[in-house]
Amino acid sequence: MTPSRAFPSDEHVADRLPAYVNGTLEPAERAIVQAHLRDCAGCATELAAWEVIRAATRSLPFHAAPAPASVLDRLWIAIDQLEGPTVMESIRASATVPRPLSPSIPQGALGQRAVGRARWPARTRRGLTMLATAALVVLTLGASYVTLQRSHGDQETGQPASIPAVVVTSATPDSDASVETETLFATVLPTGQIPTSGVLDFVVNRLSLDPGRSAPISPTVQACCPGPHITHVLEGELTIRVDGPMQVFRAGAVAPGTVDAGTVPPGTEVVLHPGDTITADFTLPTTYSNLGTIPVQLVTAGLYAGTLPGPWAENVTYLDFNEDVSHNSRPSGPAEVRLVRAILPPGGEVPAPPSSSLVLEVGANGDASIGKRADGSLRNLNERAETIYVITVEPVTAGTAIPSP
Amino acid sequence: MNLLAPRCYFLSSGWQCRMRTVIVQHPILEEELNVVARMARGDRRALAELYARYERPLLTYLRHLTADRELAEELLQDTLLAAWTGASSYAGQASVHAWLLGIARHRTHDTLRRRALRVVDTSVLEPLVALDPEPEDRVLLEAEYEEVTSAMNRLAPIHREVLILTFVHDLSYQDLAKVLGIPLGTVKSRLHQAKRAVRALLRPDESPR
Repeated sequence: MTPSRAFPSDEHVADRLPAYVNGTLEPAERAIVQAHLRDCAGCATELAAWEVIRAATRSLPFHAAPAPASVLDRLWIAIDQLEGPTVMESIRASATVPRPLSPSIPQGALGQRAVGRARWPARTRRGLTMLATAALVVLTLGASYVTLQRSHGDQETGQPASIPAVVVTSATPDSDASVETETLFATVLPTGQIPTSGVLDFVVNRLSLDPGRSAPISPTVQACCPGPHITHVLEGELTIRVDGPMQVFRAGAVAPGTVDAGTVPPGTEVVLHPGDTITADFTLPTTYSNLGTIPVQLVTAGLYAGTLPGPWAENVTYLDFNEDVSHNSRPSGPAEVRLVRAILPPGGEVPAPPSSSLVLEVGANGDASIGKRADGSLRNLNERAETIYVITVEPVTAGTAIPSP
Repeated sequence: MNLLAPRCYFLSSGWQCRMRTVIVQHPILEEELNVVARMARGDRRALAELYARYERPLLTYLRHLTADRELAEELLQDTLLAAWTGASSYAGQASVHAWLLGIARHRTHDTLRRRALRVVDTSVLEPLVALDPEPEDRVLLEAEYEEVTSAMNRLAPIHREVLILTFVHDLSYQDLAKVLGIPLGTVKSRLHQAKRAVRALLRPDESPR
């Protein structure tokens, strides 16, 4: 292996390969490494070795293990102990004096540490019972975004205020924030379609396919990973061919002579329009083609057993992708898979799905800054609105209502 | 930001690597700096946001540092409490992710020392780095998937840690140096040594020199 002349003499391309693999090299360095790799077989071998190590490292146990909500509860209590009376002490201390409860405190006025606590808004007054109940409910739920706030005194009313205000950040935490959601697709996966053994990998991709491009999904790559694979068209016309059974879901009426909704035979070429969806198995050879004049915008998702993290299709542009490797939880029976588009204002939330559900989101136009709690609820952590696509897989119960796609 | 990077999959014919488009980690997100600044001003909502974003990667890291799940959760709480009280001292030299991992690592080592649990002596594990070609890397490409994952599980903690920080947390070398408290050159040598250690576990007759 020959040291790259573009790096200082005491450094070597080999030193950069792990950073090249994890995507943290600066663009200029990256270009140098890429150029070097073309002429250096030894470096290419070493690069592949690092990739093997990366894949194996990411498959180690404990990856993506969630913390129980009690950790955050204990954190708040620890902070209270550092900075003043605990929540429970505050509630107990106030047991004889009803205090107002603030249902909404303006953003930016929360929990100011040294500069004085935010005042109690005087507009809403409720009894202690409700306050204590609300606080206890909050503590019981252990919601991650619960904000606890104390006031040392209400200067307007002159009341000593040692009672915590309890602000539960709910689906719409800010008073002017409205979350828009729209179900794009939903269906029930029968028992047996979700793999019952092996590490379960849950992926969602936001893809774009340019006009005139064809994107084969290699059957050799797919061979390892049986499980449901979903393709939903957002914009453009996608021509898709699956060498195996494919279930077609139409969002609207189809023109005479074209493939209607339902199961189609292997090898059938189907044209999908915005809102249409197909489901097939990950192991089946599949080809996406854009025979139209505008880019096809897609959301694809899958749930499979195996070690196939990250993107897999050729010739497509990945606007964003997300992945969750779950070692234990998976629906044991039939499961509803649902694709939702959500427009979240800053702080806006998508509430938690039923327990034992799987949730994953992807940005509409790129990496979105979305926080995900252990219960599967999502929150926009960005200062601007984000549009995301959320895919959920929920165990089907007797009361599950399945909207028509 | 998107760029091409190789991704490897284990197929029936062995490991296969292809160039893929991946999302690159942003070095330091301005919004994250704002979150820490808000924490420094005592905004608990900011701490909740930080928790939501980093609870899982932090716990993943802590579970690799200690097999005791309860202890890992306790350390997660300690880490975030230390981040809360130390937010005003965060200078932005490392990413927020690396800053938190550094706190987590420090708290873990302190706790394990206090409890007289075994702490790996990193000084005896620093290797010399050879810069010559490494055709031995082929052993990694020829190994079965289960063999490689088994080797990963048997790695010394010091090697497993640097690989996890590099490939699970996707830290830059600068951030690795800050989290691990070692010079940049040692980061590179430790990564090479970790690779050799994996290789040696796959082929026990080969010394991890």
